[in-house]
Amino acid sequence: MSIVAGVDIGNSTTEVAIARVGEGDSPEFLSSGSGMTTGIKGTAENISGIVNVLEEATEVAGIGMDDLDLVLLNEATPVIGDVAMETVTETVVTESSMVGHNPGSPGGEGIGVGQTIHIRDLDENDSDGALPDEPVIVIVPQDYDFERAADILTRALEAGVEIKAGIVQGDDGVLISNRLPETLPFVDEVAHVEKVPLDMLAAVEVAPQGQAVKQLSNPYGIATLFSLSSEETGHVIPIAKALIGLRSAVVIRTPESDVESKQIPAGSITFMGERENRDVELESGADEIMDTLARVEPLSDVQGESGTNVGGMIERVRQTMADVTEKSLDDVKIRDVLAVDCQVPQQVEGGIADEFSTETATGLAVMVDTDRLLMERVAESLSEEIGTQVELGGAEANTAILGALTTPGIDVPVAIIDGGAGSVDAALLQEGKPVEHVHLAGAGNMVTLLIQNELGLERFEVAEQIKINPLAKVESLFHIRHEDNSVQFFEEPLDSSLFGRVILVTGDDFVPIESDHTLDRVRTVRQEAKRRVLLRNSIRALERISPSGNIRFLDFVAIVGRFGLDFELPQMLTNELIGFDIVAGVANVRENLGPTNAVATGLIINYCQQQDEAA
Amino acid sequence: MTHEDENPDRPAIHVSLAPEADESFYKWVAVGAEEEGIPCRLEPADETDETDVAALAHAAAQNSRLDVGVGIASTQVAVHERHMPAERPVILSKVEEDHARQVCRSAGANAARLVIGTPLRLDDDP
Repeated sequence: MSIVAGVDIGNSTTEVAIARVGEGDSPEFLSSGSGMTTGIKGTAENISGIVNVLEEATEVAGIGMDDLDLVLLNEATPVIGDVAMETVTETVVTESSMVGHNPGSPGGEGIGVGQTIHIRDLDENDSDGALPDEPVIVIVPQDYDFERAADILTRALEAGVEIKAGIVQGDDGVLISNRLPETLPFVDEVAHVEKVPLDMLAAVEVAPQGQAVKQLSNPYGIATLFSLSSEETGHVIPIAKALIGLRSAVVIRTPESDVESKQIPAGSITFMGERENRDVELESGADEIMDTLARVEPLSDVQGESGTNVGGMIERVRQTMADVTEKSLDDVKIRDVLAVDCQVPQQVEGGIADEFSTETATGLAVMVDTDRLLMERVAESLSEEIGTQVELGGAEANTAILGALTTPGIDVPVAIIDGGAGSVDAALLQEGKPVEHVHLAGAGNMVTLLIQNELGLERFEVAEQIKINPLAKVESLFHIRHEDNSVQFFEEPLDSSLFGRVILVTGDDFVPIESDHTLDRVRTVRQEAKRRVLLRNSIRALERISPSGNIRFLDFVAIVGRFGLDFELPQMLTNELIGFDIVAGVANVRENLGPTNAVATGLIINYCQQQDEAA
Repeated sequence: MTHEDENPDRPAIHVSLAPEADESFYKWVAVGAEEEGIPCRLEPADETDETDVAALAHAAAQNSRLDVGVGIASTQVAVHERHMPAERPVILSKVEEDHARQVCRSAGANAARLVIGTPLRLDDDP
């Protein structure tokens, strides 16, 4: 009898199983454990994390570290993934010519067109000359409070000045508008009101409550207001685009006004297949990139055009991997790429009210091969550290399947999907055949990156939280509405800082999301990110391992690893695969561990089988 | 106070002044609520000589058909909601000479936000 530990080092989690193993018997499992992976998978930094988890698991099993006779390490999924995102377009306002934003409460409603004028020029006590006799748009800086501004404007209106609308720096739009004898549109909370040029033709639009601007988000609408030629109309398209969906907006026509939507040279990617090479421009979008990739597969390496964004990004990944693996740059080969399109809010350069415009970006996940050598080094260091024999215990795909097969109700032939932070892996075991397996770029970290960019979040950790927790809206001081529309009441009032906010339900705790996004928007972005990365890659992986590339030939699919722990992904996958007539669900390793610990458990089972064969 | 709502049955945020409070504070509370588009009305406090600003606000909230009340004392302003425990106002701010206007306006805006259901702007408070 001996005591054996199986250790699975993942990109983010290290899992352990401990069992008593005797000749000819199936292993008797004593305990399991898991903890954070320390450092990049496959490096000596992993040791401290492994030791921590081993210490915890041995304690649970009621034994000491020195009772371990053998430690088995997974023969690493030979992949490391990385993700990056490049914006493909950007909007630059070279001469301030638009203001578009969503202040909480703009004043009045309607459209006004006129020459921009400072409010002091309408104040008979202050202005040096005659009142203007043409239609005007009045600019009100913060140092004019709403009563004084309303007073000046009322007198100017009574004196016959054609005031058509206003642009206000403070949060006073409604207050000024309410105090005038007629209803005029006022855009307020325009932070850099001093940047609005004077004596220029401008148009202000405030939509009725619950609606968005119509005229200024329509290129022909702007052309009508400013009498533009067809050529000039072409130039205002980026303005109109940036104003779509906003409740209030200003467009100013300056002689040099020039808003550009320009394409950043994002560069091209060269896929080097075993038979041929193909180039594809990053600008052409994710579908084109993935189609090109499919045509050159199997892939032997990828190059980015040097001196461009994508070139820099691919070289960064290669450099990181070269550092980790201590290989030369030329020996680091990229084995898979996943491209995903996304819409990213970007601050408009040269905007007046901190406007954002939605730009197109492409996210790329890439994956490189590592080798057995890496894990052998980890095994050696670990052996020195704990003074116990450490061996590599079989390829990860095989051991994961052996672990998954401890799930009740499952049988061979079986395929598994093992998703983590860096890659989506799939493996297929058929009677009497070697295990087929595949590793694809793009998994949990890619989802987080998409959420972070599409919602314009500053911190990766916040996006990570959004990925793994359901949402709710705090509707009153005493109740919240969960994203499935169910309502939860509380005896004790909630913290007033949560009121009206979209929150994450993390166990018993509520964490507000510091953004203006609605619950629906956050939820859509989250689910779409999972669909475009995890679902797509799961299907892609199953296609690769299926006999003749057809998923319908599979019978059982088990989800193991972190994918299985996600609160919605297993259901999304099961739903998707039902269409192919496959039994798909979350594994339940050793009948009670759920989707976790498959590889660690499989390492021990594999060891026992080998012992039996040897005997 | 041209935008005050005089009809006692119309839904409005109720605002009560403590006897010693500066009456001009009401105007700024009203301005804050007006910018958010919610009516508010000055309601006389009960005869009981209420000096606790939270209790004042709570009593105002009980009578408001929008369930929200504001209490103003000489040095404090409180925003309350009908179902909250009386001693736990939603917001309690100090009113000091130099920024009394902003504090009262912010209290009015937040009272309105409680009605609308949008997040409160708590960082405005000194």
